[in-house]
Amino acid sequence: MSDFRRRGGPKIEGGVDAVVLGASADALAAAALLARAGLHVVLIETGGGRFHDKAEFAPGYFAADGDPIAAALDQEVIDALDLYRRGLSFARRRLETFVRFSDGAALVLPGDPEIGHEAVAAMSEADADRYAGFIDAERKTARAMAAWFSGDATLDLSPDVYIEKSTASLDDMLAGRFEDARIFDYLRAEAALGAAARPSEPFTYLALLRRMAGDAAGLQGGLAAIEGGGRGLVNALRRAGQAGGVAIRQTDRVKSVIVEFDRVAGVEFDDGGQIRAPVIVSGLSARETFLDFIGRARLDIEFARTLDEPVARVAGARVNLAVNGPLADPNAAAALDRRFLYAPSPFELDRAFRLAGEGSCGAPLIAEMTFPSAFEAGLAPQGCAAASLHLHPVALRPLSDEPWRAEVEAAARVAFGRLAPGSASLITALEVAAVDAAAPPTAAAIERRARLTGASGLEGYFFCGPEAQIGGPLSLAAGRRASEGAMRYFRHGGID
Amino acid sequence: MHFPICNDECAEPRPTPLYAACAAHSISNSWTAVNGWAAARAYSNPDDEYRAASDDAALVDLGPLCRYTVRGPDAASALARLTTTPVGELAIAESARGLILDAGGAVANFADLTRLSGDLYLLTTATPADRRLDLATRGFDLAVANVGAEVAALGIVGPAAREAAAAAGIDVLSADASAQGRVRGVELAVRPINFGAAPGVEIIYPAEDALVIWERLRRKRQLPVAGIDALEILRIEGGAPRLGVDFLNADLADAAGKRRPDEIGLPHLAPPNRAWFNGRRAMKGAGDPERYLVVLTVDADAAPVGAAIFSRNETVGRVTSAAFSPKLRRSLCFADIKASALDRPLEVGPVDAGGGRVLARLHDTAESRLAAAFRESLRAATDFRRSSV
Repeated sequence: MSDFRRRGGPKIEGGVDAVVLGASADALAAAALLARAGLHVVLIETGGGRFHDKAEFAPGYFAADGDPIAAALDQEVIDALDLYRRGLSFARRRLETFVRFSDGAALVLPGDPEIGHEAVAAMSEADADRYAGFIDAERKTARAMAAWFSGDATLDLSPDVYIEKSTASLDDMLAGRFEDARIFDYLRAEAALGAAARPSEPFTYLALLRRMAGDAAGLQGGLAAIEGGGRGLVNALRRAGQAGGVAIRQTDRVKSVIVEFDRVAGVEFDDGGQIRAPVIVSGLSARETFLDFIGRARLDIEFARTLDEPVARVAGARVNLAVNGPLADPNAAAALDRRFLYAPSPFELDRAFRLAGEGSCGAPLIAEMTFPSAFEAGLAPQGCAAASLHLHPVALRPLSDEPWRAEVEAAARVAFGRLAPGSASLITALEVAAVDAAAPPTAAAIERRARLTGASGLEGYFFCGPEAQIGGPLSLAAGRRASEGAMRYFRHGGID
Repeated sequence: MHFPICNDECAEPRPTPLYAACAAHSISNSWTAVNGWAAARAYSNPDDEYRAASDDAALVDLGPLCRYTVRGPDAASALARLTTTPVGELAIAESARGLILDAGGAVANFADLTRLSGDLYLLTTATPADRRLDLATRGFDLAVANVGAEVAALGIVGPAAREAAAAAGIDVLSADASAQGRVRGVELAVRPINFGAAPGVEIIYPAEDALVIWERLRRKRQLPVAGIDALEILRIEGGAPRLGVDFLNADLADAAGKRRPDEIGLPHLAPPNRAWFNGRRAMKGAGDPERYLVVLTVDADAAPVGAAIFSRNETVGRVTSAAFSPKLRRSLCFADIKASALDRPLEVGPVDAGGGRVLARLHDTAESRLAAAFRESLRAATDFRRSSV
C-alpha cells in the first residue's frame, strides 16, 4: 500500500487560527485579544518595533527601551486583557510638565490640563482666563474627534468646524490668542514635537487637538509614565498573551505571506516551512507587511502607491544622557519625576525646521526630556541620573552617519543646558539611541491609515503597524482595531 | 481596439505619421482629434467607406491609439498586474485583448497586448496610460517607452484584409499570431485585430517609413481609406463599447459613472478566475450589476444620442451612441439601462420632433455572444474557492 504522507523537508504546521507578525505593543495586544476570544494564535516576533531589556549605555547607566511617557493608552485593551493584573502600572499618573522657554523662564504645568491656567496665571495673569477658555473649548473639540483619531468611528463634527480645524496652521489658529508669546511657544512645541511640518504650514493645528484627545491613565490630555517604560507595557501584554495561550516564536526567517485565491493562508519561512492560518495580523511596517511579504505584483496599483509615499526628510532623535550629579538649577532639580520640555522661540523653531530640511541639525530644538532613573530604580548610580531626550526636528539620517551623530550630540548638550542651566558639564556620556521619521500631518496620516487598514483587498490580512497608529506607539488602539476586524472575519466565514 | 471619444475642441491636433497619406485622400476634409492626434471623420462618403470595410477591405490610420513598449525581466508580471490580458499565457507573437481596471474593478482603459519577443511587449491602449504605467511598474525591473510618435500604425479592416496584406508581401502567420518581418527594407510587425464586426490586421513600423508601406499596399490594390464615422457603424454592429462615449474612464467618472467589465458587456475580457490583476478582488466582491450597456435595434430612422429608454412608462436608461446599419437596414444604438429592465419590453424616445416613442429590442452582437458564452461557462463551472474559511 502506498504511503502518501510527506516525508522529510520543512514542517507544515496546521490547526492555527491566526498568525500575528511583529513584536510591537500593538502586535502583542492583537495577539492577546485574539487568544482571549478563543482563537489559537501564534505570535511570530520578527522585524523592528521590538522592546529590549534595559541596556547599559555608559558604565552604571541604563536606558529603558522605548518612550516611558504615554499620551494615549487604549482603555478597552487594558480592561479586556486585565493589564493591571498582568503587571502594568504607572510610575506617575498626571505627569507634570516643566516647560523652559528661550528667555530662560520656566512654567510648571500640572498633570491635569483643566487646572493648567493656574500655572499660566503665575506667568501671565492676563492670559489665565484666555488659556482656560482655549483649553476647555479645544478639549471639547478633541473629545468629539477622539474616536476619529483612534480609527473607531467616522468624524462626528460639523463640516465647517472640521474644515477650520483640519486645514488651519497652528500659527494661524493661535495668532492673537495670548498676550504672552511664551504660551504660544509652548503650544507650538507640543504640537510640532514629532511632526514633519513646521507650525506655520497648513494642516498642522490638528496635531494639537490629537495630542489633547489622548487618554492615558484615565485623564484626557494628560500624560502618564509607565513603570518600566514601553518595555513595562509590552511585558504586561506578553503575560496577557501567554495567559490566553498565545504561542510566541522568535524568528527573523519569515519569507512571505501565503496568498491563495485572494485570501491569506499562512506564512512561509526561509526553509520552506509553513504555518497555515486563515487570519494574519501584521504589526510590522507597511512596507514589510505588504511589499516584502505579499509583493508588489499582487497588490492593487492604487494601494501600492500608498506604500510609495515619500518619507519625511525630518525626524526626531532619541538620546540617552548620563548625568553625573544633581542638577545645578533649583527649578529643574526640584523634581526629576516629571516631563521636561524646551519650547523654542518661533525664530529658533523655524531655523531648526529649515536646517533639518536641508539635511543638517540645528540647535536649539524642541526637546522633551524625562529621567527614567527617577521612575525606576537601578538605572543610574546613586546621586546620578539617566536622562532620555527626544530632540525634534533633525535631519533623517541613519544612526551610522557619524557627522550627523556629532551634530545631534551637540544639539543634545545645548538642549540639556537650556532645560537645566548650568548643568551641561554634568553630562559624562551620551548615546544617540534611535531616530524616528517625523509623522505626516494628522489628517493625512488618518487618510493613509484608512487606506492601509482597509484597502489592500487581501482577505484575512489585517494591519496594525506604525502607520496604523495615530498618537504614539503605545496607544494599542491599532492592535485592538486589527483584532476586532480579524475576529469578525474569522467568525463570519471570511465576510469582514 | 476602438478609438476613444473624439475631441473636436483640440486646437492643434498633431499629425500622425500617416497624416500626409491620409490628407491626400481626404475629399470631404472632415477632421477631428483623438488623443490629441488628427483623425479623419470621413474621407469622402462614410457609407462607401463602411461598405468597403464591411465587405472587402479598407485602410485605417490607427496612429491616434496609444502605444508603449514594455521590456525587461519583470515585464510580464507588471503587465499581468496592470491589464486583464492573459500575459502569462501569451506565446511570442501572440496578441490578446484586455482591459485596464482601477482598484475598484471599474474599467479605466482598453488594452491590447502583443508579445514581440521573450521579454518585450507592445501595449496598445485607447487613451494615454502613462500615469498608470508609471504607477504599475514602480519597483519592477523593466523599461517602458511611449512609442506612439515613433511608429506608424496602419490598419486594414475588412474580410479581405489578410489577402490585401499578403498581396503586398506582408505575411500574416495565422488568425491569432502576429508576425515580424521586413518589406522593402522596412522592419514591421503585423498583428490581427478586430474592429467591431470586421476582422483586420494592424501593421506597425517606423514612422519615418510611414509612406513606404502605405504606397505599397495601395499600389497592389486600390484600397479605400475609412474614417471614424464609417468605423463607428462597424463598432456598434460588433457591440464594442467606446471609451468616453458609451461609458466613462474610471479615473474621470464619479462613483455613479464607473462601470465594471460585466456592466459594459465585456466580462470575458476580465475573467475573475484568471490570475490576479488590478481590480480583480474588488470586481469579484461586487454584487450583480445594476446596469448594463446593451445594443438595441430601434424601429426608427435613427435613435438620438441621449434619448431615454422606457419600460412600462418608467425611464430605465438612455442612448449613449447610435448608427444606422446599412447591412441590417436597422437603426442600432448602445444604451445604458437598468438590469431589472432587461427582460421587459423597451421603448426609445423621443425619436422625432413630436416626441414619439418606438419599440427597441435587444440585439445580439459578436461581443454579446462572447459575453453570454463566458457567463454560461462561469455558471457551469464548479468553483470550490468560494467555500468559506
